Amino acid sequence: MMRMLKRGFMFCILLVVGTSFLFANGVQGQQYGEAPSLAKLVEEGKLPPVDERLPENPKVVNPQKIGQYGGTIYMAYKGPEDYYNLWKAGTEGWLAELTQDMQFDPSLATKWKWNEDHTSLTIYLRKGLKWSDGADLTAEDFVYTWETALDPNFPFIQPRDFVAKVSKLTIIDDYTFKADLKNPQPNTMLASALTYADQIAPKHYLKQFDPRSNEKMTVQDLEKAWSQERITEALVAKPQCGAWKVTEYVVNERIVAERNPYYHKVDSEGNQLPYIDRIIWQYVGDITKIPLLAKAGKISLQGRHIAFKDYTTYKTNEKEGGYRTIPVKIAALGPSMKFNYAVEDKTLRQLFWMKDFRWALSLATNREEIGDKIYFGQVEPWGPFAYRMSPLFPGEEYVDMYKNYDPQKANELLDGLGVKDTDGDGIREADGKPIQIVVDVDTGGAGGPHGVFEIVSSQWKKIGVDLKINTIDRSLLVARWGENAQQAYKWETAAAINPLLNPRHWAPTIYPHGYGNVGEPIAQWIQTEGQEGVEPPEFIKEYAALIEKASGTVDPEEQIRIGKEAMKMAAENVYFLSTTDYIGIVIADAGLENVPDAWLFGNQHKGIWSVRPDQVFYK
Amino acid sequence: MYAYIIRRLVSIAIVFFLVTILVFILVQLPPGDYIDYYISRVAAGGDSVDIDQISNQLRSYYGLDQPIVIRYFNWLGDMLTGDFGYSLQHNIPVIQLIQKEIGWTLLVTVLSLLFSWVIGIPLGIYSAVRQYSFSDHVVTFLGFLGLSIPSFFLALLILFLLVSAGTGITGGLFSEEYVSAAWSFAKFVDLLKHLWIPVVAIGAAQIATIIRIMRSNLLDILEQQFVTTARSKGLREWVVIIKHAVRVAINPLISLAGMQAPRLISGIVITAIVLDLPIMGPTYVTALRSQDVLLATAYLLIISAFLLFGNLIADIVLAWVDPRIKYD
Repeated sequence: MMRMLKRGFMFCILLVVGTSFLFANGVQGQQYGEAPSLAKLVEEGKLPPVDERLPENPKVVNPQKIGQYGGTIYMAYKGPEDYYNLWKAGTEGWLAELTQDMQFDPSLATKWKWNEDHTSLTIYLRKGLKWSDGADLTAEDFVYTWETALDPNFPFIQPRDFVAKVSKLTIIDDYTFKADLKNPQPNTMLASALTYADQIAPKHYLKQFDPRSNEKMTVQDLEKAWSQERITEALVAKPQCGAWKVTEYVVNERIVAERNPYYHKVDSEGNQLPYIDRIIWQYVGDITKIPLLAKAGKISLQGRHIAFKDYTTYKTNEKEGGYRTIPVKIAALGPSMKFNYAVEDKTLRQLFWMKDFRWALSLATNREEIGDKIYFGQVEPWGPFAYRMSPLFPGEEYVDMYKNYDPQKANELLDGLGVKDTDGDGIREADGKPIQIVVDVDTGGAGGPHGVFEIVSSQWKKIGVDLKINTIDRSLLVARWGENAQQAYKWETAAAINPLLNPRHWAPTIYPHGYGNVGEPIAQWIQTEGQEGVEPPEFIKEYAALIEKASGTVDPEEQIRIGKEAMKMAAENVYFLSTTDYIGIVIADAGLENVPDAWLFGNQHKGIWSVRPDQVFYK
Repeated sequence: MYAYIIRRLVSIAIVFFLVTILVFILVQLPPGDYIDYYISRVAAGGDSVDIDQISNQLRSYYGLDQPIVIRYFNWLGDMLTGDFGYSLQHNIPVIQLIQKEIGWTLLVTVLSLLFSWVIGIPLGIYSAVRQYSFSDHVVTFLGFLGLSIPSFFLALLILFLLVSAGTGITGGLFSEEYVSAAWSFAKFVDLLKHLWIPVVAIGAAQIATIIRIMRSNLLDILEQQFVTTARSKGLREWVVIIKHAVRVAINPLISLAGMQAPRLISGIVITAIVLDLPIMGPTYVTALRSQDVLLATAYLLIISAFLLFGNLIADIVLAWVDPRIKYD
């Protein structure tokens, strides 16, 4: 034992000696490397040396290639509400980051620990973390932020999944805090606890605007200073803890974020990240402008707002704009049609409730054709269940089920239901009315390809079902949920890499305004336990119960078993009509290194953060 | 004349008051509100917020749960003291956005109006004087071309050519490096490099209208007896045309300019969006889309005010240009 310790000690010494030799560019005796611009500030005495700025044990990452400092990344943003554009590029920090293989990689935190029955989570922060103004970032900042989120007097900041379940927060020491929970939570909750924590705000700065500590202030004052999920001038003054810090904002023109001298990460040779000096976001009034910006070489790294329908345009201008067009897998399911099982039209409701009817629609949907026409054949037909990489993936036989295109079988199923074309106009009649389904499709959503349901509509002609497309704005589409005004709507179901990371997209677990539900009155019935709303078909009751149960199951194996059960049930019943898996595109400057050739790009991976912009550099 | 102006001002005040009511109701007519929009935005981000209680919380926090009548009077009271309220979307007072954008809006619109007049009126005169000549047909053809190419498309075309030529100009009023730089000669030059695009793109569509109106009016006038009289007095042809005929023929154009004032904000929205101009049109549209009620209302009011005052000024100018017009 002693010998092992001794050997370990010797190794450490060797490592320290060895690494300090590596930094020829650094100041002698200095452990870490830094950007020349920062080194200059240190020399002028305007900034403490890099060793003092970094935490005791900085987060060490292993980029493909060790980079060099300098350069600007250009992006485009859409307006004051495009906050995720900043955040996902790296202006804020995370407790942990989700890796490509769905592991949690510690970042601001070093580790976390559940108690025995998963009713409390203790989070250990890196010692010596600092805000961009040099102030200490401690457990107190987290507790302050989460407590504010939980306090209904401050509605501008809302508790996310995990924080909403917190009953008590305790600071154990400067770098440790504990969150007691209302009820046991499974491991999947970590995604929300660790990676959705964009809710880290600098207490030392905000308390001057906080009515709780400064009587002269109001909630509105705090809201302004906090600038929660909103791009405002206040971000310039507010300390941040990401790789870059917002330093300039001109409304509807541009945003600049400069490197954060206190960023807590170094590369494997000890150089402080990020490599890139700054990010500049240029305002676009409309995202259709972005292809032109790319052509002019003004987009260096972007996945957000890059519309897949512009794929060929981007490809054509690659040389001129000096960029690469990279197709990436997206973590959500491609555009699906969600049936409203509580649709007001009773005939249609009856049809939606029939499993054979739903199967007929699915069999009449030629998913290969959609893939060829819209995605240039780069996608796979997919059903309403989780992707292969997900622990909940039900099995290949279910994939085959949805590869099957068989309009003849579909016609037979419909004949069997007794809905026939009685007046010979090519459309079947039910209760004397032609079968017409109106699907609400939103106009926004750059990633979303256009025209999927136009293709489906022409395919369904073959089985005598009339599909009409109602194109509306996304906010109107959402407003129509509440009014139960729609028959069906298009939605890209999120978290297909693991539905339990975001169950509300998969089952009516929320009311009201549960996104991705299959009819508000259905969600209402389930959430009020049958008091109000519309009673759903049996399989939805069972399915929703399974999803709820899985999301609450602490034992991982049991959780997966129940989750898989739910996926199988959704697949067998055509819970909603999904089309294909999903791809998007990322534009990356041809000179940018450490940008992979393909990867998984999704909300759970924080969009463009999946590339780790703090590790890219210009060669 | 003064009595007339005062009477007009009083009637404008009354109309403006009615407009505030109409505008306030119109902007809030679409279903849903800012909170719905906010929720859809969060949903689009793939994020999850516990929405059960928060929509009500947020509604009462932003005062969206009060009846419309109360909200109207609160807003009217604030507005009379110069407070246009708060933009939910930008999280800053609406007045700040107005201050930022109104100058550029006036610059772009006035310049494009001037541009279209300076080009359109001489061409219209020329076209009328040389009626049915080859050059008249050319001008007419070009005019119709300008009229039928939407200005946003022309703007896109210009941008595409500029980008293809490698100038790096992709719209806006400044290059990226000058956006927040202090004023300097270089910045001014940079502004000129960008400013001509919207002026030409927006102006071109107006030119056609002006040519056509000028041409047909002048043709009417040229047939009238006082022109024949002038000619028979032995006046030189250009004096007859410019001093006698054009002076009369230009009247409808002045009324047109009054009507165009608001159109130059709301009518050029798409062009402004395409060009990323930091002016009022695009902000107004996004405000409507995200149901940022107070911002949209304020902008719609300003547009209405432009219309009212544009008409007033046009009438005054008309009276001044054409002494035959009596108002009393």
